[in-house]
Amino acid sequence: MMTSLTLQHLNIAHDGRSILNIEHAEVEPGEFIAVLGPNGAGKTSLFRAITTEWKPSSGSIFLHDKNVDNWSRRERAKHLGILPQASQLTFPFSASEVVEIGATPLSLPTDELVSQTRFWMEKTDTWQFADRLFTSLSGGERQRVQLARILLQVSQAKKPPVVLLDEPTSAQDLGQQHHLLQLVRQLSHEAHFSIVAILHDLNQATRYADKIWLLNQGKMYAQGLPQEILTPDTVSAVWGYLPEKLVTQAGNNVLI
Amino acid sequence: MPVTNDKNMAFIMINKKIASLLCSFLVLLLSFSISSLALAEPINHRLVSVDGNATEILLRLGLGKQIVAADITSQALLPEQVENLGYHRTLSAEGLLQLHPDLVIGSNHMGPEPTISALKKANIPILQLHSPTSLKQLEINIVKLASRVNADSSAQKLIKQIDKRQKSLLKKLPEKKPSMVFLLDIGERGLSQAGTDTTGDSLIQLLGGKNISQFSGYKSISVEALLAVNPDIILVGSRSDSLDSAKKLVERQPLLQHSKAGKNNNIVSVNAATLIAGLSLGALAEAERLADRLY
Amino acid sequence: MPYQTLFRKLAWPFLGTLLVIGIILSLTSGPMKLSGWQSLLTVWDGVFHTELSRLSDYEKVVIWDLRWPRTLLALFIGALLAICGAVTQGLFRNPLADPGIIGVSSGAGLGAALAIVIFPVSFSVFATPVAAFVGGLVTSLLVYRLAQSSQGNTSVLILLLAGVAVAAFTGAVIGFMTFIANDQALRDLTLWGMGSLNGATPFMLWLSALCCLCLLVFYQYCAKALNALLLGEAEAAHLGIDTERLKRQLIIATAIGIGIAVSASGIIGFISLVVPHLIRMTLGPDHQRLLPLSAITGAALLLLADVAARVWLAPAELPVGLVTALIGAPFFVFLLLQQRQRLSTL
Repeated sequence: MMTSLTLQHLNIAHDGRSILNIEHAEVEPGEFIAVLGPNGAGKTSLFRAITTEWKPSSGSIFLHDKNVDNWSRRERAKHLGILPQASQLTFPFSASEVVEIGATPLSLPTDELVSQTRFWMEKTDTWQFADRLFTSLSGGERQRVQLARILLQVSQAKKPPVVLLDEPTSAQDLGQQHHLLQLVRQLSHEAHFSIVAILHDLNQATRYADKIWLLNQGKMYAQGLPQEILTPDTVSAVWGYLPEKLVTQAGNNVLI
Repeated sequence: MPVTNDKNMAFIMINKKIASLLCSFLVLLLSFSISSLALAEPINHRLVSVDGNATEILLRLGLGKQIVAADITSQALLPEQVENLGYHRTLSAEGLLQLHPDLVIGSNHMGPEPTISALKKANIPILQLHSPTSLKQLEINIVKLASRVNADSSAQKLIKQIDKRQKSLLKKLPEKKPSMVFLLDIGERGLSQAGTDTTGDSLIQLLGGKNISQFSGYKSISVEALLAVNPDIILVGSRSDSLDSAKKLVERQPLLQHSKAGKNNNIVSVNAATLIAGLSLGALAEAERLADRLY
Repeated sequence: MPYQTLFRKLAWPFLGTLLVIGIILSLTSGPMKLSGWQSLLTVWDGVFHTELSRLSDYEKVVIWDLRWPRTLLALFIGALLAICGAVTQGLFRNPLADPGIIGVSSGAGLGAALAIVIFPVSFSVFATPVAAFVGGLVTSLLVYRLAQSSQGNTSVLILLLAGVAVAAFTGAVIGFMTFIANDQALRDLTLWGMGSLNGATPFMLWLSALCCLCLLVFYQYCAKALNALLLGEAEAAHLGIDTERLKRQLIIATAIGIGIAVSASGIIGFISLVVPHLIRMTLGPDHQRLLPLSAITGAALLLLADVAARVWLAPAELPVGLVTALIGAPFFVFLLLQQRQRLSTL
């Protein structure tokens, strides 16, 4: 079976201190992985390693069975996108211009660029403020514009692309959170995008993700199906808080 | 307005008639004299001088009227304003060409280079004179300049005059060379002394002095160092011809009163404007004035 | 933002017209009063080897040997300054950055000061541009090296601080040079710092033309990457851009561009700061549009400033850097006041 992303004996150290240690983990095309864990568990470090921002001290990361370091920058960018938590942009770009920057590694003709930009902005519910200044948007709106940019970036991938989302719902209101996770889930299931998202809400992870990677203290504490992993016992062991498990009328498990 | 009666009117009329007669006679006389002069020097040039020293020479050769434009340092020397060409190192080529000059006179420092090559390309004669550091060089410059503006005879007169003045100046000089320093008072930034290759040094040579400064260019000097060397004579450059720089310096640095020069009342002001463009005729006059004051 | 759409449509014809007006004014005005139409015909004659102009040979020298090269020089230097400014602002993600930030101006100033003070006058005419160029390039490379960590990453913050430190050092050396300089060197130094298009040799003209065209092409090639860089360095890297290489190339290219501009014309302020800023405020920060329009505007503004410098005190002339600062500084304050509301939200 071809995997989109494989982590092999991964060890990341920073300033001589080991931060993350993952023996083996993989993502298949069309899979939606939720990365969970308390603060400082190594979630963001994991993303930095995957995007080659940080070099692992040992082990390797494969994107479609090819070491991420061996990809050309441009081809890798077409197959691997990451949604940052916050944006440093201070220049007066309009929202649609920010999305268009996503096409930097692509070579789209102008009319296609325009239609693709519109397509992804409509998908992320941002088209209505396409002409507004990016800097004038709310945090949640910016996040969705950035998501549209990332989705445009990987839209021309030859193999199922991998999209990393760093807390994509942090600034969204409740309705938008569900809308966004719904979209991501749809992209993974219908367009075979591989999604790896750092989430905070365990119930949202249970509801939308196919698999959970539970990180704790730089180790992969557990990985597998949400219902198997997110039990009151594991939550208590990782977060130090014992939740109560309820079953909703639709038959879903909820931890509160 | 005063009322004029007929008598007065008539008087004025007669006066006017006499005046016009007199005028026409004078004009006739003048035109004769001019034509006789013109025989000797027939060409009326359009001269441009971008060097104060050269401007001074032209004035002394009686060619001041032919100067149609000059640089900024020459302006103060000229009896009436002519077109101002600004700083002699940033001359505008078109500004010069527009004047249709017959000759452009400047020092070896005039520029910039492209302006000079543009003048050459437009076939405008240029005369570049070395900034003189001695009267000998000044005389050479006078000869060079005069030969280009058909003023050789007045140049000979001028040179004779300079030689005479130099001789009488020499007579006044003391036998033993007094030690001297030429200072520029640059206010807050302290004092600056003239080194070997400066016009200030040329002035000292002319005054038969021995410059205490042995290096080239202007270098700063502290009052303490000045007191340590203790020169016989202290010359202080003054930016204006008000000549109060020596007084001001002593007021600011009362210690100087106890120096050799101070005790002998030998701290004197020099009009530095005469030293801007090398050793000039003005500098010679200044040296004569100083010699009378000092010796 | 419908006004911006309108501005974008009108920008090319409007700025293009401004440039043409600048060129025509530069060719037809000067201390010498000549027929404007005949002046333009003279340039036509010179370019296309015809004989239409009825000016005298003397007047033709004025047009063809003085005004025409000077017009070209103003055009290329103006464009060069503006695009280098635009790229520096993009590179540092700071709309108020100036190419001086990487130390190129202070280094060039140091080179020029050494040449003016140490070499004799006759030699310093040629030595000054060379020394200014070398000084600018060496200093900016030094600043760039200082900002590089052992892993080869360039910290923009350290780069800025290193630029400040190097500028302070060169300032001290220039101060020492002015201290030991004679009056004439002092005056030359002051005038050099005010910039002028008067003293450039034909060689410097062709060098700046070549450099301007090369940089226009190269910068345009980098325009999309520069846009991506505005999102942040990590984001640009995720978009497949080798950010270290991009930064290195852009810093070196800008150092060369500014070095050549400075050595041809001394320090001409405000074009590199105001022009890209103005274009960005009215037409948005997209470098694909910003760069060529900045080039046109920079060229037009420097042409107009140079016309003012030549005509104002004719037959003497002002340093053009004085004119650009005189016009540029209040204009910049005006822009800041206009945009204060919006800038404060950024």
